[in-house]
Amino acid sequence: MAEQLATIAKRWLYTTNHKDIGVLYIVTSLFFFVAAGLLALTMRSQLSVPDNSVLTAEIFNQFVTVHGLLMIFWVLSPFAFGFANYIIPLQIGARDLAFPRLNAMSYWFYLFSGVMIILSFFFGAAPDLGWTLYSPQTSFEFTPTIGLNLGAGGLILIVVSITMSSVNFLVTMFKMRAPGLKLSRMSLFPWSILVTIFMMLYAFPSFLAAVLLLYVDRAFGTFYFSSIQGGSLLWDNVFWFFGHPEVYIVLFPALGIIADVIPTFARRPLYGTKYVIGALIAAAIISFIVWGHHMFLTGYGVITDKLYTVTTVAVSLPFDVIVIALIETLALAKLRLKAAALFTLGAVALFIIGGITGVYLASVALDYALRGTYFVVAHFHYIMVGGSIMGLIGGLYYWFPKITGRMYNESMAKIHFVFSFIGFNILYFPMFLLLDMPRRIATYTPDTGWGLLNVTATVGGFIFGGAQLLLFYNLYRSLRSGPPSGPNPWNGWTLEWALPSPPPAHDFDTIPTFSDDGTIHFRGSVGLPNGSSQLDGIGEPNGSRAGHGYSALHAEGLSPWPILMGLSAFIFFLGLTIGKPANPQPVSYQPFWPLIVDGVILGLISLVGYSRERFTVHEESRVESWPFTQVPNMKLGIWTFLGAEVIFFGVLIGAYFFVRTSAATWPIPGTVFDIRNGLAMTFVLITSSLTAIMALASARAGNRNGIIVSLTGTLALGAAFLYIKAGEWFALGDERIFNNYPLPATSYFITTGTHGVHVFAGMCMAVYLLANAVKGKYVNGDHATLEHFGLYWHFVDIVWVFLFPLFYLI
Amino acid sequence: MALRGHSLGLPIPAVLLDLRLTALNTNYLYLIIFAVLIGETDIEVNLSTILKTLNILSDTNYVTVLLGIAATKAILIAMFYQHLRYEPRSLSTWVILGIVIASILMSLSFVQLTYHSFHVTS
Repeated sequence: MAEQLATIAKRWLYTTNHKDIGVLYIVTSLFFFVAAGLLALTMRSQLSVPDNSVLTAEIFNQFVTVHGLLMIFWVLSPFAFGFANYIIPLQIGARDLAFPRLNAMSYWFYLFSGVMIILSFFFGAAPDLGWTLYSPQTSFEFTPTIGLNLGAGGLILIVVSITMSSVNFLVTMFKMRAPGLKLSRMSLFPWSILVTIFMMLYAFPSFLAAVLLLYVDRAFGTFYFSSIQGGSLLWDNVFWFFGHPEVYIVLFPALGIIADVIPTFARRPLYGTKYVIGALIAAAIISFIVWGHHMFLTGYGVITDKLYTVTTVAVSLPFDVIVIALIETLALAKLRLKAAALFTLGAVALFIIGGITGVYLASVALDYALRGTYFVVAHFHYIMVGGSIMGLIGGLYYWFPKITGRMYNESMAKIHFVFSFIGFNILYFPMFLLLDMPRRIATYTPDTGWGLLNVTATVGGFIFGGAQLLLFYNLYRSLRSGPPSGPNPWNGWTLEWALPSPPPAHDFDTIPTFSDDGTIHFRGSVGLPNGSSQLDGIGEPNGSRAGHGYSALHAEGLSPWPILMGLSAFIFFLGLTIGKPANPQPVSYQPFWPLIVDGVILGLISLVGYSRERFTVHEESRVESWPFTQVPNMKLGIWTFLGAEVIFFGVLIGAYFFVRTSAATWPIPGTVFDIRNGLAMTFVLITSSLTAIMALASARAGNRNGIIVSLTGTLALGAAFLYIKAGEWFALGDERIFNNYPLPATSYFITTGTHGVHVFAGMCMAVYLLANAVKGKYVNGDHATLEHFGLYWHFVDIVWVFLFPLFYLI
Repeated sequence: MALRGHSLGLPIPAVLLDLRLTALNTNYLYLIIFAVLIGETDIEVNLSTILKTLNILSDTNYVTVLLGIAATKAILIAMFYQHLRYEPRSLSTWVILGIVIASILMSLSFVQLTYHSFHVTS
């Protein structure tokens, strides 16, 4: 028994299989969904009657904030990416994601980041400012609790998780599609995930930079958000540059699911597929130029207001195309009203209401009246819960038989839909009528007249929340004793339905091939028309379910290092965030060192274990990989990661420009930051780039000694750079620079400090490479790792090339 | 044809291929790029001193000139040390497109930040 438990635990803790990780994501996000839902129901109880005292104002604010953060970061996207993990490799004919261990690491970072947020309740107080974390309320002066630091730590961890996940999915979808599966032939769910990833790659680094600035402000007493020159405007811009695309990031996967589910149950292909894909792309692009509509009240001026009104109205147009396509698909269709179809149809209906009410907020005049009221709460819940959660639950009912091999009770699922839909509307529709009730107030007086609508909403909330119990009960019961579903219970058209339910560990015995006429061929089996209902009769199209070859490879694909790396990051950030903030005395921050040291030690052990572990990822040679046919997976991944880094440093530099142009005075170049130091560091770093590239050149020439000498040189120059930098830091610290030049010091320390951390990370990689080079690696054509290191190191050099003039010459 | 960006598709003689790929030539190229980067840095520092002393450029133009020099250094590093010049066109286009979009977005943000800051404080 104990041995069996150990085996099960080992499988789930060490797994790198995309399907297991998909299940972990789904289950964990549902756990957070329940947690966030309970917080919401408690808030609704508090607001049900006037002058209520179920919650104090402080606790209410914490509940509001953590509810919002959990739903947006820990429920909506992870729920969708649980499906993406499980389904997309099956849909595109890949055996796994491109980087399985990175995928596992993404999950563990996600889990631990959520734990940090929840832990914040036990460290004084959770974040209590709303999910937008508006400055300057976030400053230490107004929110001295450690809970917000923990929240910031959790957010940093989850952005790291999301970045890893984005790189992984992007490489997988570009480089690992089954032969013949051109991008244009992918179904809507993979397309929606692909577009979402692009948005994530551009939006989340901005958020990471914002949270980093916030954290450093709070912990070390810097002045980005607590100064007048930075302050709320800087936060608003940086946050909403991320924040509005984030709405679509959580929505698009649900739209993709809806666009896959509705055609299946309507027995008609999606109307205007290419237009829908185009609309997704258009909405994604426009979503990055609408953030100003969240800031109408900050006093832009008429022209800017009008511009943002136009872009905000414009972003609604692609969604019109999508909705019309979905409705047109239903026209004259013999719709099978299964639970999955009901939920997706319900999601479309609610999304339409949410979308239309969003257009109201594009109007400056209406926004002035409605901003910060329950109308806005209703609007975005119709989008995020109505459109997204309902769509995702539709996806859960759709793919549950595929994931578990079991059917659920359809009648109970339909009842679940009825109560959810009715409960949802009773909950949120009254909020549209609460036009004058401010959001985030803990209670109200009877004379406001808000009581009836609030109690109605609360009743709706309990109906909606109670209905979800049916979902969990139904799925739990089905998992234990549901009838077998067979491979294709819905007569679905996409590739995952051609596999057994649940699919074998290795997914495919033979990689399928997509033909021009839409048929899918498996080696040794007869091709089936793409869309044929005969798939139902195939059962196991790949032959033996036990599989061979790759199955053994994949079955052994367990790795303890991803969870350990996630754990080490968690411990490290815990130590960093539960320390004692020391505002307004910078540099006297007192972190909880034992945890930090533990985290670093465990992280180093995990890193060494991770890099030494023999973990083979098989790259299929005969795959559809346009447009990156000639680019290896890892190189594409590194370049994509560097793209995210560009945005990250871009925001840091943008913040520097912002405070610099806002500040009345700035020290003359050379008076505070010594040009000679900057010049020396520039020479050192450029020279280190030369040695890094010479290491690669030596590897190509098969010159082992050349590699060792060049890498040693790179390491020594990196150390020299950090030595000069540290000397400058200490000298400036002694000069009380924060007292005399608060903003120049803030921007200097944060930007160059972040860059210094990147240099240090590069040096750690160089040590690893050097150790391998000493053992004789990289001289036999196996120098790809050296090349990848070089890409990173040269990027760090490029960043410094810009930082040097910004801080020393301008 | 070549000038118009077309290729005749003729095979490159083996001798030329050898010439192009020899380690010696590659190392030589890396050293040249290194020298150019160091030289540019030197110019950057001296030019900043001269321009500040003469005071002939507005602040905006001064920043543009210095960041322009930094950008050329970044391009050289990306093209030759990160080998973007020799990568398949899909990858180089991917990177350039990404940077262009990022730059546009960052510029938009900056324009808005500056304008907004000016508007609010004025």
